[in-house]
Amino acid sequence: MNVEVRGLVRTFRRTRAVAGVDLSIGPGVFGLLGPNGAGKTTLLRTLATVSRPDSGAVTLLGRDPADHRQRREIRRRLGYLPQTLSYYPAFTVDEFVEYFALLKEMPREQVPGAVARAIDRVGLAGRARSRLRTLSGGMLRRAGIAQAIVNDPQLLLLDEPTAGLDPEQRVEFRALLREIGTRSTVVVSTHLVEDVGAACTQVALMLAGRVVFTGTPGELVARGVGHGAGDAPLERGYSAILAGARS
Amino acid sequence: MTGLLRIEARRNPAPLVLPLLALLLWLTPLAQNTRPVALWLDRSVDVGASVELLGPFAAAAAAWTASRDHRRKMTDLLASTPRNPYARTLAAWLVSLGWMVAFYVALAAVYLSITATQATWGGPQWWPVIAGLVALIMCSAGGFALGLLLRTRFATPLAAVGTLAVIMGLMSMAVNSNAAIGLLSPLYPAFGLNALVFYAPQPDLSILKIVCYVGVLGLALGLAAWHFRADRPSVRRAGAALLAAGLAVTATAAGLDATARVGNHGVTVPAFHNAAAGHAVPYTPVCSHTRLPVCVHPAYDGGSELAVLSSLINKIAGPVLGVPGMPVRAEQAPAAPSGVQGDPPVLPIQPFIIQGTSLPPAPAESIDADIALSLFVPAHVDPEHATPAQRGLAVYLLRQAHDNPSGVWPLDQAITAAAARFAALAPAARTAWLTTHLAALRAGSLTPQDIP
Amino acid sequence: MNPLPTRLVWLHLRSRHAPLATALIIAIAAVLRLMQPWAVGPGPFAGTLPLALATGAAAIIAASTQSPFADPEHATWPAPRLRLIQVAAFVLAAAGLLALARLGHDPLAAIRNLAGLTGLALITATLISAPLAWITPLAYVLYCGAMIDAQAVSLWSWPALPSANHTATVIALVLLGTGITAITRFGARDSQPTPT
Repeated sequence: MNVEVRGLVRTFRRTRAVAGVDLSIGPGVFGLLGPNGAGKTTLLRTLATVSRPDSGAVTLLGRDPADHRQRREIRRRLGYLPQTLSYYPAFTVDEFVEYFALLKEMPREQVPGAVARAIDRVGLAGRARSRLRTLSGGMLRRAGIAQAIVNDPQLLLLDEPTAGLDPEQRVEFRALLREIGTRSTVVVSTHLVEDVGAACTQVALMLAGRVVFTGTPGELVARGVGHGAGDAPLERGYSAILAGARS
Repeated sequence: MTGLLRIEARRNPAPLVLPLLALLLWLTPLAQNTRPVALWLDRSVDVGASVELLGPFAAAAAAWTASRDHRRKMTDLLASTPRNPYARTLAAWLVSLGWMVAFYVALAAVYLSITATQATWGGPQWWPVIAGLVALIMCSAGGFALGLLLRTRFATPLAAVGTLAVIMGLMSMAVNSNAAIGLLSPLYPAFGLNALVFYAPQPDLSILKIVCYVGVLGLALGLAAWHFRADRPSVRRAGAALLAAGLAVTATAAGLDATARVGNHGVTVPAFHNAAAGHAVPYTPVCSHTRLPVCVHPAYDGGSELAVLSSLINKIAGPVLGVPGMPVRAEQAPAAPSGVQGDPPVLPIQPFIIQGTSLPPAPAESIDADIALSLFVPAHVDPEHATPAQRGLAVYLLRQAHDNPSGVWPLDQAITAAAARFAALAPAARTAWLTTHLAALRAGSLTPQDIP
Repeated sequence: MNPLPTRLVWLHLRSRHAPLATALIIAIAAVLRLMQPWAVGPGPFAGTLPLALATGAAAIIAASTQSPFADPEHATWPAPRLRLIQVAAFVLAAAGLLALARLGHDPLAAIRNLAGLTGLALITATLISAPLAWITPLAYVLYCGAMIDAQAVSLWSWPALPSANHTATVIALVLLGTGITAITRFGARDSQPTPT
């Protein structure tokens, strides 16, 4: 397993954002669903080694992120796209991706090729020399995805990756996820159940800091048969589980 | 690291302020001072003092760069990368600093190159230039630390204004109250400007400043490292070491500063003092061919300095020349202004640089007054301590030279009346009275009422 | 025109870091007061130090005009009035504090200089950005310091003139009026409406 989490707790003042989460995630695309405030972003930040848990055990890519040397090794193999992508407006797309390739300590001789591939994979090859401030919201999101995948990460963490993408781009993005998921672990936090259905092999549903469902998209759909509100099977499964967890 | 430096160099905002700095330098006395006379020591001190302009902008550029990640909300994304965060941020700072250092070096090169074409004595003095460079680096490092630690929109303006306020404040303390700490201001001259060319320069103060600035630089970089201490032990250790070293060096500099002594030849710091420095440098003066020959150090023999000075002195002293006891020559001397001395009598003139063809009004009044008073005060006495009778005759000389006597003060009715009475005498009567009464006048035995 | 609710004004001020800005301006005034023995008398350093500290206050006032909200705020009606209230309150408070700090040493000049330098800073904030608004007043103060050093003070370096010079006062007031008008009408540049 590339991600092992046991009893993870993260508290902000009096709010338990993550209240004891257990997860085991191997290669493939893992979807993380949940309402606002469920703790998805906090969990993802912890897996990205940006935030330290208050308690619990976390193992990423077979390493302990609490140890600084192992944390460095994890980060070399990690790709992360936060929910709110920020950037230096004066950087061009290729500079932005190159900057993160260098920060991820990729071998220098591999950087130019990796940058070009990453930008091409997200469909921004024609805008590689454009400054980030000139890009639309969707293009910025794709530039963010490019920096996350530039080092061919073994663990890819994406928080709301399709925000701002048009339907055609979302289809292409899901194909990219499936392709990356054949050799790496991809964790996608999203509100869009159709992204989960199209790309994910496993999905977890969080509510109030806890995981209330883990299984395949098919199992999620099955939980919604005859129950729950929603226009699509996955939505009905989603709402059925939440209703059950809240009662 | 080189890859990061390359990207930063392409995108760092520091170059954007360089044209403004160039314009400021053009408008300020630094550019105005490029006219003859060119004294190497004076010009070298000027280069170091340019930190007054460059320092605030260097600090602000560094603060802006350091606060960039927080301002752009990049901290999470950057925290997920393996690169040493201290090294990453230092790379951005180094580029920002590099631009300012390059500007300073270019400024020094241009300014000293112009000096090389104008100077008639000596060579460049590097200590004040190096001290200025280290001061610039220190200012930038201070802004860097402030930008990291004070993560608000106010960090950059505080870095800029704070740097200027500290530079000015220290200098003000030195000038207004002789506070020892003021010696550490980048603006405090490394050498006694009055003795610039007459004595071998003492680098004591420049060395002391460099030690102090290196200490503060260490403190700033240590604070910046401490900001990232949670990420890895090596950064925490580096931060602690830098803080300890910076504190030790700064404390040492403060202790040495307390031992510094300000003298006529500059500042002496015993720990750095070289007994060989500070000795008088022999020279052959350059003299005018006027009624009262005026002699200057060859370093001052540029442009119209000698002509203007000799014209001025001869105009003021003209009516009294030839009277026994009056000077047969005027000569630049490094000491403070004082009365005629020696045998044959010589009028000592304090060195000052004339820009263009005349003195600006405010210092001109003071210099003219000193010249006039020096003719009547005793030897080795500051003209400031002239008696009312001596002031009366000085006022007479200045008025006959069509100069403003307001530099002679305090003035009262008795003094101005004495000057008017003396001016009304026939020239022969004036000469005769001076011949018989000059000794008593200089001894301070006469009052304004004794002047005919 | 209906008065704005006090709660709205207070929230607006908080969004502009008004408490921190106020604390910083108070600190600047305190430093100016502490440095009083060395900020009086002839000489370029004593003359430039109060100007530098006034620039700090002006820069903080201008930096506080940066909006964290951008477009959503620009779509509202009271935003210009809120900006006017904010800047006016800061200018009055800073003027009072700096005048107190300079009591006995031409406090009216301190008020005048704060007004003019703030005007410069606000104009810069409108044209460039709020956090960079310090550039123009600082550069100008450095120029004034050089003119003091060269004993060549004129209307071009009006902050160095005594408060009795009415033309300098008019210049400062014009700058302040222009700056306040610009910031009220347009806001700081980095928080102006995103062009479509």
